[in-house]
Amino acid sequence: MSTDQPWASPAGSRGSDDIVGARVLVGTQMVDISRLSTHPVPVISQGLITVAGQGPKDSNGAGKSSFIAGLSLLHADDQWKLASGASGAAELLFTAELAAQETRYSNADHGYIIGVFADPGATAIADLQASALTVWLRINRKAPYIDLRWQEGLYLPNGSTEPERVAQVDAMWKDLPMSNGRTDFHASRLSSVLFGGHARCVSFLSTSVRSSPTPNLLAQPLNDLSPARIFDAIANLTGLDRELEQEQAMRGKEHAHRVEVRGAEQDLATWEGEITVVEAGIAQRREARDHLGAARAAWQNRCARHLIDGLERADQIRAALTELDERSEWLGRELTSVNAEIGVLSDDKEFSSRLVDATKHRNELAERDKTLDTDHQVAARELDELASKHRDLLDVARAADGRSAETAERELETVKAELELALGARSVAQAAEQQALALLDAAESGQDLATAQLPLLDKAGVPAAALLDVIGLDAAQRADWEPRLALYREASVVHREHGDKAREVLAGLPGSTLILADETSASTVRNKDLPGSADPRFDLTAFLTAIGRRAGRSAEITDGDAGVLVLGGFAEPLTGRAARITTARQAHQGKSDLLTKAKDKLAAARTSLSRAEDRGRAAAAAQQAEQVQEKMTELRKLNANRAEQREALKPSLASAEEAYANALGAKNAREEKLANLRGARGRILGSQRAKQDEKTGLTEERDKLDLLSRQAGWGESDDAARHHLLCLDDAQQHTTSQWNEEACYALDGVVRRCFPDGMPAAEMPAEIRELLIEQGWRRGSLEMRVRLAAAMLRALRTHLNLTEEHDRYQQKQITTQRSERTKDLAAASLGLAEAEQTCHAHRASLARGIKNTLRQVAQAFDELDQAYGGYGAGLDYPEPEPPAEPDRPWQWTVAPKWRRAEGQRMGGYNLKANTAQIDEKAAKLVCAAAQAASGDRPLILILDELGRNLGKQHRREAVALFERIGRDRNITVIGALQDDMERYAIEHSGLYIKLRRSSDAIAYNEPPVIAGDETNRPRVELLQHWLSSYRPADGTNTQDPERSGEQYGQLDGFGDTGEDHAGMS
Amino acid sequence: MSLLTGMNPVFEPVLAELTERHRDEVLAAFAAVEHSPEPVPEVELLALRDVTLRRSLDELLHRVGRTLVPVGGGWTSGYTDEIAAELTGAGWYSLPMTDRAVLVLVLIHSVAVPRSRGTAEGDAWTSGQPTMASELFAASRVRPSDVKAALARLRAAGLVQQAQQRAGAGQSAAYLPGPQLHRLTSAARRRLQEELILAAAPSSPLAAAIRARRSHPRGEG
Repeated sequence: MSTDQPWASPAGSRGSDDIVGARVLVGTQMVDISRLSTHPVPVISQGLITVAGQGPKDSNGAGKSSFIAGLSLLHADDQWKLASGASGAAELLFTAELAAQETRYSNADHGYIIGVFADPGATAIADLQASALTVWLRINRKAPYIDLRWQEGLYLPNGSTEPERVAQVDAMWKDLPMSNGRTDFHASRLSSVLFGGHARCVSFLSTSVRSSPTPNLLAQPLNDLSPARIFDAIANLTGLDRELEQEQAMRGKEHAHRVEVRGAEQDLATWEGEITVVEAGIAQRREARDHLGAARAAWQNRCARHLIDGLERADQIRAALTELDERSEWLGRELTSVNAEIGVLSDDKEFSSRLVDATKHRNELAERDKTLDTDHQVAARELDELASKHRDLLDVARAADGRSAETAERELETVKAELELALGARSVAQAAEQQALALLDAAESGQDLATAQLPLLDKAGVPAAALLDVIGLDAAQRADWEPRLALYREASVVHREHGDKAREVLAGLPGSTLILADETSASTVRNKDLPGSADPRFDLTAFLTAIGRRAGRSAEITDGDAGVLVLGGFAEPLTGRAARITTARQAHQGKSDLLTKAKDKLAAARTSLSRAEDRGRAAAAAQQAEQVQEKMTELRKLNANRAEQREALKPSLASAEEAYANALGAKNAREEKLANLRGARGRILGSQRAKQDEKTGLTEERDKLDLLSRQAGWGESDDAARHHLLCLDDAQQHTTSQWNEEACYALDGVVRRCFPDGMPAAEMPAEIRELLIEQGWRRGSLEMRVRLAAAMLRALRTHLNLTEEHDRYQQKQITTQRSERTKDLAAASLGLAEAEQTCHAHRASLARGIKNTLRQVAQAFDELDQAYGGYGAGLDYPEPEPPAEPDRPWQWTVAPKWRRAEGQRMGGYNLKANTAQIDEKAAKLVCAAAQAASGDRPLILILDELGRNLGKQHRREAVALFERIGRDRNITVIGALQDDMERYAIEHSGLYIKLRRSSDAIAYNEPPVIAGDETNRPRVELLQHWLSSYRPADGTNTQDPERSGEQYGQLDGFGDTGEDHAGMS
Repeated sequence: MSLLTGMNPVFEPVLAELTERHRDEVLAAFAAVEHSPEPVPEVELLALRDVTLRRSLDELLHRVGRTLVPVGGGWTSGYTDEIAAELTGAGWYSLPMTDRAVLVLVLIHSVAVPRSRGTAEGDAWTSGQPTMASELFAASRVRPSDVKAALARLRAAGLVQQAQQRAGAGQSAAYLPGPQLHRLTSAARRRLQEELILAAAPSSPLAAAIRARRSHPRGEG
């Protein structure tokens, strides 16, 4: 041990770093951790410590894993995820369910792991006491999971029984000073506070304690680890990680510089990007100013040229106007003379009256001639017609046979009287014949008797017949019976049974007579006196008998009772149809013959009449023909007269015609002349109008020239303009339109430079906006631009003048800023270069250091391997490329390798090998790393289930290996054993701890059995004695060795104390 | 990597490269920057101090679309610009119109106005210049009850916070931009400022410069 005791110094400042220093663990006490008993357990500092268990059945369930897990936590093993609070530590607390004691005890919400660290070289109690540091870890079930406090010297809960010790523990914790001012350090600072960040522990913990095994050299098969992780583990053990962290911090600075440079670069780039736009604008405006000059010059030239052009044109117009005036004056004179001539010609009255007279005379003569001619023609046509009429009349007159008209008249009268007579006779005959015919028809059709009644009865379905048709009279009976029956000439016969019905039928015919008849029957006896029945349907016996009786025998009296007398003597039989028809036909025949005779007589009378009429007409025609002949003679005489008259008229008519023709010719000549004159006058007027129009046009043009505004545009005198133009060289002798184009083009160039096309209107000055957008410069035609050019020129000049100052100022600013920013960037780059260089240098030296360390580790690895049964081993550790970016990790790798047999080449660690060999090499590698670490800090290796997969011989060797390594190298190996390992372990271990629990019904362990081997036994006893000697009053040397010894020896009665203590927690 | 049980497999590729301790540090810092309302001071956590670990932390955040945002001497996390654009494009996390209006008013009073006066430095969107509630009621056409409701929602979201009141009678409540605005990336902060300028003074030279820059993407950072 070094003389400067590192643990003494930080005590004063309640410091914060590496308070344990080189001290080693000499004892531990755990309260409410799993089911472990609260006894202080002494620990040796070198060699192998085996932790065995004695549970109810076998070694399991005694709390071995919890115990060694507590030790690893006390040594701030990284596996506990200390940086994030070590929440896994809470699982170490006593939990009633896991202890199967939930019915009796509640869970512990906090527990303590107390470690006593002391100088490994202290052998006496006093030395121990002087160098002791008691570290308390309070484990809470809720965050913060770990609180850290400590006290120099020994500070342990004491007591003879579990309850005593447990009762003190909370009070003792409260008495400890807060470790971090007003609070305690928590898990995240555990490693740095206790051990200064040095690794003091490498452990393999079984999963029953840790929720997830994290990779480290012991916890995982070596060949599952990547070379990078192996390097990390070695670096952790050798303290290289701090160097690397330093390097990393330097790289961090470098990175900060780089960020600064990058920021400055980006800043500059952004600024440049923004300023490029501004500078472009400034440059554009500068260019625009130059162009504006050109535009102005062009515009001035244009104005001069425009003015001069205007002046010249005005002169021309003036000359042309004068000429026009003269010309129109001459035309006026011409017009006057033509007008006079026309007046003369149109004013000759005598000429015109002569023409009128000649015309009148000629017309009269011609009229007379024409009238004569027309009369002649009319008479000729009349003559024609009369001749034809005369011929026709002569033809008719031939039928008169020489009679005169009077004679013919007399004959006609006679004939007419005869005809009248014939007509009357025929009419009488015709009427008689008609009457006879009607009678015949009635008799033939049986409708001469009871004509109204029978059809009605027949229609109603009543059998009926006329009485006279029913009765048949023979010639003898006629004389008697005909008068009797004559009274009933119109009567109808019906059957007796139909009498009522017949009465109803004939109700509408008053005066109808119905005679009721019986049915004819065979039995009826025919009376010979009575007339027979012509119709078998009716039997009129009753009726005939009745009228026969009334008449009696007398032929004169028809109805004696009533006194009726009917005369007889009918030519034809009254009864019977055939008889009546025959009578009617004979009468008709007689009448027809009479009619025929009357007709013949009438026809003869008519023929006579017609002949008489013809003769009368012919006589009248002969008379007429004579008259016509007379008229024709007269007409012919008249026509001859007219022909003479026309002949006499002819010479005077010819002379009148001639006079008229002469007068007409003279008149036509005069008309033509007048027309000519009028045409001439129209032409003169037209050309006068044309001249006037021309004059108006010229005047308008002169007005339009607007010389005043041209002069205003030029701004100086006319002579100055002429002079200006004369001063221009030949190349600049343009016309106005050329100048217009040039000036507008130049102006547009300026506009585009100042206000690019895409520029929003809102960003332009109001005047420019008005011209560009509202007035439409941009899309306007040349004429429009010419109109706007002067205003635009002025606006642009104003704008450019206004911006000029600002631009200059801005340009200056830009220059200044650029140099400043470049300077900043240069400074930052310089800083970065320096940082890079420093980093590089440091990295180079660090690489050397790392390689050196790794070489030492490799060497130690080789030595250890060869010393403990290997054939030689080594490490591959290529130097990695420095990180491309400062914030990339600088990842080193280590690949262990070893010989599988003597003299073989070394094989890589990741080649397949048996697990025992790999575990062994891993342990050797850990030891080698620990050994190579400078400062020779103590190290604890914690291995759960030591030799879990070794064979018998290997187990022995493994245990021996750890023992020897531990003894030789300032390493404490703590191993938990299964039952079957005990016998191998006991003989090699420097300290044997057996945790005991006899029954599952007991919540807490019994006191552990602790035994040191021959070498260590005195020290173990000393430590045990010392640890249990603490008393709060003065704290020193109050010992009770017998009692403590007795306590540890006892195996009985512990369960009771356990129960008590659990009950109190 | 069954070792990282309980951890989303998304993070595994990043975490696998780290040692046990560094992984703890990175995860602790991840939790801190993601869940702490205020920015986490850099000195508090190793994973923020150390650039290498910070890079790992940034990668871890990137896997869920977030990024580290430096705020003074500390760090917080926020959505990356692309993710933010995508989220807002899809309509996620959008505030109601009233809330936006009120938030903008608070930002104008507390940040934009002091910054334009030259009394506020930097480009942060938080400030010590409180906005009086009476100002909010007076300056907006939103109904006071709606403003109050919006303020409550914004406070719950951490977008505004109530300012510490000096003792004094009759003062109305005062509000400050909330700590969540620290989570804006520098690009987002700048965009916010530019949008405010474009909205407030579209014809100013500043707005013209912004438009010019936007039309020349070369100038964008």
